[in-house]
Amino acid sequence: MSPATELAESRILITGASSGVGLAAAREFAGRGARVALLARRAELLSELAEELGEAALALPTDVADPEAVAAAVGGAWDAWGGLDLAINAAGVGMPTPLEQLDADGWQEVIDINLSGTFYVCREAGVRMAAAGGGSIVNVGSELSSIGMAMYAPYCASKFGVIGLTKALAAELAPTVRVNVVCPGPIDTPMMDAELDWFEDPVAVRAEAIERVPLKRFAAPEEVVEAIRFLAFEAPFATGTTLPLDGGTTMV
Amino acid sequence: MTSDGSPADPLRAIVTGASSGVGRAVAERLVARGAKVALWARRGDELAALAEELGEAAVAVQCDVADPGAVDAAARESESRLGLVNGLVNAAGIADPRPLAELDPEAWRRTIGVNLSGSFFPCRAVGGRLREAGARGSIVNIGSELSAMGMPAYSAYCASKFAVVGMTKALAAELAPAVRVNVLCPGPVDTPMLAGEFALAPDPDAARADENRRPPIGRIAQPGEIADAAVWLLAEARFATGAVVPIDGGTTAV
Repeated sequence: MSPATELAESRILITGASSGVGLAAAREFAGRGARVALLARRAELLSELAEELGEAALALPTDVADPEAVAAAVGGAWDAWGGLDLAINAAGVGMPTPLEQLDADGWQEVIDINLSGTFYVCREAGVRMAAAGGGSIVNVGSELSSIGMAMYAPYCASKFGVIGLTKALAAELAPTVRVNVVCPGPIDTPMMDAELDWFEDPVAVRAEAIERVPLKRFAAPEEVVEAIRFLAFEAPFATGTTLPLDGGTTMV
Repeated sequence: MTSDGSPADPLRAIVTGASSGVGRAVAERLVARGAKVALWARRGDELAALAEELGEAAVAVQCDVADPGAVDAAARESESRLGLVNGLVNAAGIADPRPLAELDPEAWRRTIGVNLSGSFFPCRAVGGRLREAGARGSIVNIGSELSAMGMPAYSAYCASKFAVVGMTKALAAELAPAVRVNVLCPGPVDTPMLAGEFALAPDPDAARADENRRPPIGRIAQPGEIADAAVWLLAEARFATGAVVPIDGGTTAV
């Protein structure tokens, strides 16, 4: 089967599918007729989601930081459907951590999931897509792919890294496979809630965080999904593109 | 879309450079999605023909965007014919490649005048009216891959297109949260402008073939692909402002 360029016919692999942007992508794309392979660590949440989405969904509990598990999951989805048309790397972690509390393990966990996990999926999906003659990858970066933020050193390092990875792979996999990255600003997700809860006064910190955004709000996960859809299905000339979707936080 | 294009408050947009290339494709798409569009360009006869083709949703407004007085007059005329303008796509642009020795001050000023000042004047007119009216709106400027990299014989063009990025970010900061301002940076696009550049080469066909090989994606873009992205940024990407969006087949990734 040749690679699909229409969303409704697409076979889409989504990491971080149990929550936030990944979850919204799974619901949106399955709702529009695509088949979705759902990757996340939490097996129970994944099987509930797969049940909700019906036959279109394949639950593949996976820790993206584990390269062998990624190879098995991507290979499994590929074999089940005879290919993949789009891979979305939405898995990510990040909690505010002051430098003096940031030990090697804390650093490593963020790099392993956000950066290496994205790489493992890109490698497993990208090599197969290139051999099959087409496909597209959309990575999820961050506003912290281009600006720094106190207490987010590993997160910033990992997300800056995702940009470099995306551009290098875009060059290497062109013209067959397009690789792009969307860089959201603050999004209303469970990850955001957890980050805010770390602070003594989450309500005040949330208000400050909104004040920091020139458009004066957080994004909904669905808006990020819309940008992913645009890059994957409506921008056939885009590769190596970094698409900021941050309400203006990185321009000032 | 919110008030910059909901059924209750539809998009009323100015498109500069509307007589050809990306601008023309943007105008066609905006009309197709129900917007009212003021077509701006210098060439009145081509504009009138396009306006007729697009039907009553489109009006032709002859304008040289490098002339600030003409821009203000065209903006007033556009508002009187469409209502308050809440969308702007600055697609007017020229490319006049010249080695440094041939890039005289007049040629320099012409490129800066159309590409940079010719984007600023419409931003100023539309942004100013939206401010006065307390209304929401959206602006898309057209940069270039040469907003992020250099190319021999394109120093004026590069200067103008890098500057469009700086202007976009400053205006996005200044006009937030009511007006979004973003810049789309295309790679090579199959337009009359690019054909004109090929025509300057000793062997235009060979120049086109070379250009098709230059982007990693292995081809140049069609105007419609760039127009789709411009319309998406203008009307759909509601959390984007100050964003620099390359759609260049990978030329600036490497």
